[in-house]
Amino acid sequence: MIPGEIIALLTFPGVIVHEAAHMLFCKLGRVAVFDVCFFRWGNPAGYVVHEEPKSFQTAFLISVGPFIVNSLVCILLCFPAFVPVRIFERQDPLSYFLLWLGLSIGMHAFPSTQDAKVLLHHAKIAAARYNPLAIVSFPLVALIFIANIGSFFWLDLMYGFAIGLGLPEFVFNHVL
Amino acid sequence: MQETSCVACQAQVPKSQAFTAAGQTFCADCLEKMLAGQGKNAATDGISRMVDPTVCVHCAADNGAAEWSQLAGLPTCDKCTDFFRNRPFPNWLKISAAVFLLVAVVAFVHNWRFFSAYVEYLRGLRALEQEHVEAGIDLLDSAAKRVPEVPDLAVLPNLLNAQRLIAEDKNEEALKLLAQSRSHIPDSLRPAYQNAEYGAQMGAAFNRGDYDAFLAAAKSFAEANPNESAAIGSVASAYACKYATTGDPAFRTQCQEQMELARSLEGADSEVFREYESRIQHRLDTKEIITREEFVKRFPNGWKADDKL
Repeated sequence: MIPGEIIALLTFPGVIVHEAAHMLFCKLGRVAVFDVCFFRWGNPAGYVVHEEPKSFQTAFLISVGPFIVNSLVCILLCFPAFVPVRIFERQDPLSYFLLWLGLSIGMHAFPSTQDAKVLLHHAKIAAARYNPLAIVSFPLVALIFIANIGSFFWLDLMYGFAIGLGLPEFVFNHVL
Repeated sequence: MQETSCVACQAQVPKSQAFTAAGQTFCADCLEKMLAGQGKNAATDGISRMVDPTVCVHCAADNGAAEWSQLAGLPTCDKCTDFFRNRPFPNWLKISAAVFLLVAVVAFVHNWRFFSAYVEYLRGLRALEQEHVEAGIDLLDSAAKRVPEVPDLAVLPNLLNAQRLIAEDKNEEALKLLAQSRSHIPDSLRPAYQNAEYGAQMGAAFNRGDYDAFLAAAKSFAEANPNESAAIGSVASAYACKYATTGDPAFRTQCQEQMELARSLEGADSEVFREYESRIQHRLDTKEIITREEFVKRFPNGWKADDKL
């Protein structure tokens, strides 16, 4: 088994974008950010320390922000490289670089277990006030936990490939 | 700034620099002495720094007697509050994001012809599936021209164009086109490609009157397609040409044998085969070799003769 630190090092752009996404949604929600570490050698490889969000919606977005941002950035970076590399098998360094960058970012899209715990904490409070988003969040929290367990079996990498390469292939074959 | 007194030394110290331990207030020096006295077993769990609501916990800015507003439960000056709420992304991150975005845009522009080619290729295949052959070939052709460094993409349009040229009796051109893709044919297209090449070789040889080459190509064609009437019929056609030019009855016999075999195979009941049979019959009967166009023009209802093959 490859240690998480090594994987994080090989895919460090994904860690940076993951933390940047947390921070972005903190800023959008006017939530104070006390400390941020975009990448370091250790566990966790990055973190954002912020104040408690005032609304559940903000807490939700801060927790799942990396899923949205990392997935979008992964698609954005992989798309230009998809056709030359995957379809025409071109040995283009720029395309390979973009694929590494995109897939690294895509495989860090899953919110972490800590993100799920924070979301669960806020969801419990908000659900007591019958917040519908909070109620919907419970299965999502379960999914995040499952996804993190799945990461031991490279589910995160598979997700990166699915959105970085699988999605463009689907679009080309079924939409265009 | 608020002050408090240390229970140990009774000194007045700023509240923000004092500590509580076991419910009592200590200055930093007395707390250190107390912990040192306890040695390695010193319990530090219940010790906490006191908070002065008039001093910012982050930058120690003193607000005099007025209390700072709280951020996450701690007094925070306006400047720190503003910073934390609008904490900027570091410059290295902004620059990296801009550079990578630029790289992605450059790559997108750089690879645009690959996208266009692939979209045209897919649309071309769909057009062929819908039997819009002309449109399909044009799209596949265009796709291949956009990315000439991907020769595989030219295989299918070259094959289809070659078949079109063969149908127009432009066999030499068809052969040149097929030669361009010979080393890139996928296994799935190999039989169709091979047959097109045989067809062009036979047509080219027939046009230049080289009936030995026609016969050789026809035999190869028949060997590759032993169960097809058209393939076996082409051997018969070549033997008919040999008979017409040499008068050797052995060629006539071989022609008849091949025609007999062709009639028993798949496709023998088609209109095309019947016309082919009629032309071969005419060739045997008259020892005259004419093109298909001329034959159709002269004998629109086929060749009629008493002599049977």
